[in-house]
Amino acid sequence: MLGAYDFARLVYDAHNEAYLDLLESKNLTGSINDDNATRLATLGEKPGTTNVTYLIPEEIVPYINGEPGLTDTDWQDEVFRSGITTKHSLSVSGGQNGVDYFISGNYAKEDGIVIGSGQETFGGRAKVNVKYNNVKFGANVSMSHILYDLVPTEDRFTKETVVAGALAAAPIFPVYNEDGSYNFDNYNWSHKQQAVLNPVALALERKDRMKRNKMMGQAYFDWEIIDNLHFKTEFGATWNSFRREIYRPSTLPTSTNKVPPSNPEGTVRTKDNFGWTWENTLNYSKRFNDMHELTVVLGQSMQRESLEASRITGNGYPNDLVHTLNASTAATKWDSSREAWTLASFIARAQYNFDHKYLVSASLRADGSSRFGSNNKWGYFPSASVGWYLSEEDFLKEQTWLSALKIRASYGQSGNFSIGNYDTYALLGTDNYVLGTGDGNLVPGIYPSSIGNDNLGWEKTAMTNLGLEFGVLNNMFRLEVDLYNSNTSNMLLEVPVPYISGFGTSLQNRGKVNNKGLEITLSTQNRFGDFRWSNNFNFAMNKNEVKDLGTVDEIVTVCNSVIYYVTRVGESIGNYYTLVTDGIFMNQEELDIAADLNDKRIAYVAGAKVGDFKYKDMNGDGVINDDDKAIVGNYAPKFTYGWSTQMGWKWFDLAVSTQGTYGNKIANINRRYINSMEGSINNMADALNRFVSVDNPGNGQIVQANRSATGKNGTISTWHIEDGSYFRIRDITFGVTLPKKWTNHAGLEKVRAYFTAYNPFTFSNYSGYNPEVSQNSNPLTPGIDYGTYPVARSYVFGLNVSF
Amino acid sequence: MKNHILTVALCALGMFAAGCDDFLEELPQSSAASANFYKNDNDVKNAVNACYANLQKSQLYGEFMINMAETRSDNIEDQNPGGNAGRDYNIDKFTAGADNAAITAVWQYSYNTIMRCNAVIQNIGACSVESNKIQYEAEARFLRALMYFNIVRFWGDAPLVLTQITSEQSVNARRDEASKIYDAIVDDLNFAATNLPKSYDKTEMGRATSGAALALLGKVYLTQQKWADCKTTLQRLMSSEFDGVYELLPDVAEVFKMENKLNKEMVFVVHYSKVVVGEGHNFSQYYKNASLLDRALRTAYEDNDARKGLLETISIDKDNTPFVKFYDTFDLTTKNVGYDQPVIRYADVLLMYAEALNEISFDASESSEALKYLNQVRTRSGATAYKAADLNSKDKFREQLMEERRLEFPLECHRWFDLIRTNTAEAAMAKVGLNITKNDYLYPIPKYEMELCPNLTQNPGYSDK
Repeated sequence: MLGAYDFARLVYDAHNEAYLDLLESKNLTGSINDDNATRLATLGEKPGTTNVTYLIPEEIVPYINGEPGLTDTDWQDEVFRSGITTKHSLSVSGGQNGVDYFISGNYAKEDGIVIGSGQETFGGRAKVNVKYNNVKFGANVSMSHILYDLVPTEDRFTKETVVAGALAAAPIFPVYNEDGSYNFDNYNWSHKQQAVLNPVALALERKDRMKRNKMMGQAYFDWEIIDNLHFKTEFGATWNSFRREIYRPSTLPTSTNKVPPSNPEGTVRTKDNFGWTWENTLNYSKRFNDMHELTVVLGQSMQRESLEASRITGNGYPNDLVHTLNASTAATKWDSSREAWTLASFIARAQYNFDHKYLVSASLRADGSSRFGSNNKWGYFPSASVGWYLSEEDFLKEQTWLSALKIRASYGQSGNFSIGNYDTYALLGTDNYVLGTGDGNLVPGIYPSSIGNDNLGWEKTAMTNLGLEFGVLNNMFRLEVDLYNSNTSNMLLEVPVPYISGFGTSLQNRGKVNNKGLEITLSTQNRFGDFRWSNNFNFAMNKNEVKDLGTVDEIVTVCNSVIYYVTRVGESIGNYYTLVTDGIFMNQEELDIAADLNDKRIAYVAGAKVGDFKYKDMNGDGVINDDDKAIVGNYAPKFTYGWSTQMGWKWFDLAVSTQGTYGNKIANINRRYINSMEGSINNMADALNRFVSVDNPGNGQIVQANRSATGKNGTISTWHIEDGSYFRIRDITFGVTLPKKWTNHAGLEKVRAYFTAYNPFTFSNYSGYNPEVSQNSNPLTPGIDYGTYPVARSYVFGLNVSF
Repeated sequence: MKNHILTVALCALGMFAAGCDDFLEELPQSSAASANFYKNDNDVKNAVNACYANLQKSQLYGEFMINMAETRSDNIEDQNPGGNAGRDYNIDKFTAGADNAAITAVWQYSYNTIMRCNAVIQNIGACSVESNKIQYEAEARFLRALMYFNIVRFWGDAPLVLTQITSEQSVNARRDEASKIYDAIVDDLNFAATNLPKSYDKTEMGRATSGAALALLGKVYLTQQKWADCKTTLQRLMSSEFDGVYELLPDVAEVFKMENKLNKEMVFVVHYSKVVVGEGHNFSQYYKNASLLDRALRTAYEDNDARKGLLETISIDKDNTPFVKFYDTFDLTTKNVGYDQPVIRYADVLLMYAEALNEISFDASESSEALKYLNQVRTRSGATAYKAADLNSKDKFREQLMEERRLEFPLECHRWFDLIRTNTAEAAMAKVGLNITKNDYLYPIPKYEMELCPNLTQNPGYSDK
């Protein structure tokens, strides 16, 4: 990001450019040397007006004059810190006479890398398994209690977040005033500069604590009814309960109180998530004549998950002494909801192998989900596979160098039911009005808000897979190759519908998508005396193609109102669909060529000036508009790969694991703010290479500073789409296990000390914090970075002691 | 023994299968399903309320209607090409394309309101009380007519949807002729005028009245240039039939003051409240950029004209300078302001009547009725009355009446409509430096809709996709 002097120059250039553009549009004359009063007079504005783009803010004048030693705040530095994490765990396990047990407790405390954030965890687990005659049963319970100190870090700075706010905050303002109070000048900055709340104040003053109780339990009962026939029943439950209390004190400014004290606001949110699963299986497994092995499984399971959430926000606290809502005087937001979903399944499976050489299996699943329409709740999913262990064949068994050779093929269907819990119903929404004289009174309004679909059913994926396993020299080298081809049909899509129907989308089963790919895993295990070394390389490549979209050829969707995606037959799902930049207009001649519609060398961009983006004319009509959007990349990588290695020598061990992707693109929408050259907030250091004048065009790819962007500079284009390929070293662990002789002396079974570095290095051209941006829930609009939390690099020192 | 076990196991599985259907039935608990709605009078009333509620949104009268009906005209000049990626700037400069977000939103929300109204009308049978049945249907038809009136004036020919349609049916929609749409609007407004009450109790004020329906009907006739129909319709509002219901307030500033909401000059407004949570305008919708107001408008008022003061600005802080006309203090709890957006005022009724009279036949005498009403509105604000000698021809009268409309109704979503219905848009926009053609009278049909409905044709002058 820019330092204070460079930032001031960016703001200066941007506001001057807006002034010159406005003069030109009105055929008036003026120059950048005009002072603010002159500018207002020339443009016929009331003296003293400040909320326009063409005046020079007083705060940057000392920086333009080159005064040394002025405030230069590195906001990222102020907001990030190194945090300490401690983790301890203690466990006891043992058993005898058919009973074994395991009990453990753990504690962890972690300081977040953003100031004011952290987490503390207390947990315990207990397991017991009992074997008695032909009956086995057991239970497993774990509980944890977690306390979070939260700081808002995801999303754009306009939603009052700390990380994006640190990038946006102007470096010319200090964190604290001379008297030690927080400086909020950035929030009150006029002249059409963005109001940014001091991110340090936001992180430290805003109180946000969350308590979470998590409990997971399972119990099972396994009865061998007769020889080889087992009946097993297993019940599991998970319970997550959250309670979060947020308090925004009077010491932070608000839009209506730009200088504190403001009207404090408090919020309480609770969420309870409870799920249980019950599975019953009958399992018959028998070996006949030492040649045939047959396993048959019949199973049934039921699952239910319910979610309850509530939230209330109030303000009007008289002071900051009490933060709980009993001290607030008015409730401004309230909400409460309850939801649940269920799943019922039946499964029948048979597996047979002949002499461990030929394997065959077949299965059929029937699943019913509460989420689907009353006509279509059940889906049927068959699958079958065959395998041939060539290495077990007589003609290959002799070859001792060959340790494994197997080919396998399978075909299977699976289903997807990830939609909202009640999307098949035509639901009602509320939209209230106010009637009556005086202050008015609320009258409730109800309207149809979604189109129902009684016929909504399972999305099905049918996958054919071909695999090869090849191992040599006692599995010293082992190769696994898988080729697959899968077709997803009846996709669950929110299909756009015409607005004249009164709605915008309708959830339907629509379309077909094909995924084909290749996965390769190569593992090695070597031993040279005391030195052991194992490696694992994996590589996966997937190609995705839309085969059918029902009645349309393509679906264009927009996310966050600015970025468009297209899902088109013959292309991948969810491609970024934007204008394509082609450098910038370097001089007036280029603008003249563009204005001549018959000269197709440069396409016309309405309103563009020298120093604004040029774009590729995709449809050849000489004009840049919406029709020149093109597919510019996809969130999905062309291939992913990883490598992990473990080495050991005597008492020392070293493990490294890495992972990478290639060919994926990311829509870094945050660049709309921090790389826009508008000067309203701080910009990336890229701004140093911007176009300044015809004689000083920078690197010829970055637009000129302009507080009131002209041309199509503000439209999402390939300027915002970045290469997201990366290679990350996930962890490096170095450990020392004390020799058994020494530890046994002390009565200890094992002592190991280790040092791990997590995420020590990431190699990527991506300009954002983390190329692994979270995937959007809508498959048509994935891969957006609008302000994300960076990945922390951490160094851990640990000690394992067993008795 | 073996058989026994297997039988038990199969029975158990069978039991599970039977209970399964119930198990898979999960009904929504925090939202209601349409299937359970429209069952009684209260349901229909709530459905009507939701039709009004849509008008408050920023996508309609909250913000974007003002962009489309005021910013485009010679009243407002947008000087910020970068704001909102040029959304409002392009509307102002006539460079907006079919993908403009504000144009698309007004189309979308207008048709959404129409859908809500159609749902009320189709389910009106659920009312058991006869008077409710009549009133609710009349209210829904009034709002539907208002939406279609906006649609036909912005886009010309457009799909006429008068019943609930499925999304499959909507794909085949065609643009119905403007005359057909006007017939439906007149039909709806006649029903509303006959069946709506003249006024409501204090707690229900804000709902459409028969007077509102007549005033809107008058405007519809005026737009269609059916002067005689306009005259007879508006005459009713000025007759003893509506005695005491409407009047011109003596002080024009009082018309817009927060203490005087829903006063006798307001025939129909979009109602807001800053005290009731969620029913006010938030900060971003507040008229805070007064530098946009066209200078020619500001200097067109006489010095004594009180309306000039309404267009002055008040500075809340360095960045926000709203107009006096819509000024309201922020409520600290809800962080909203609560000014109403006027849709039709009694002053509009009088000026429309004067216009219709003039078009039917010009009266050059001092006792001309048209002159009387024009002056009534003019002198109310303190400007000097016109003499018959000043306006000595039909054309001159019309010209001054249009100018009076411009001075009386800035920011009330009338100017652009006035310019296009009188075919004076080219001349007016030329005065502020924009050269437009007849194609610019209509907005483009949103690209989103064009792509989903193969039978829709685009308005001339916009790229067809």
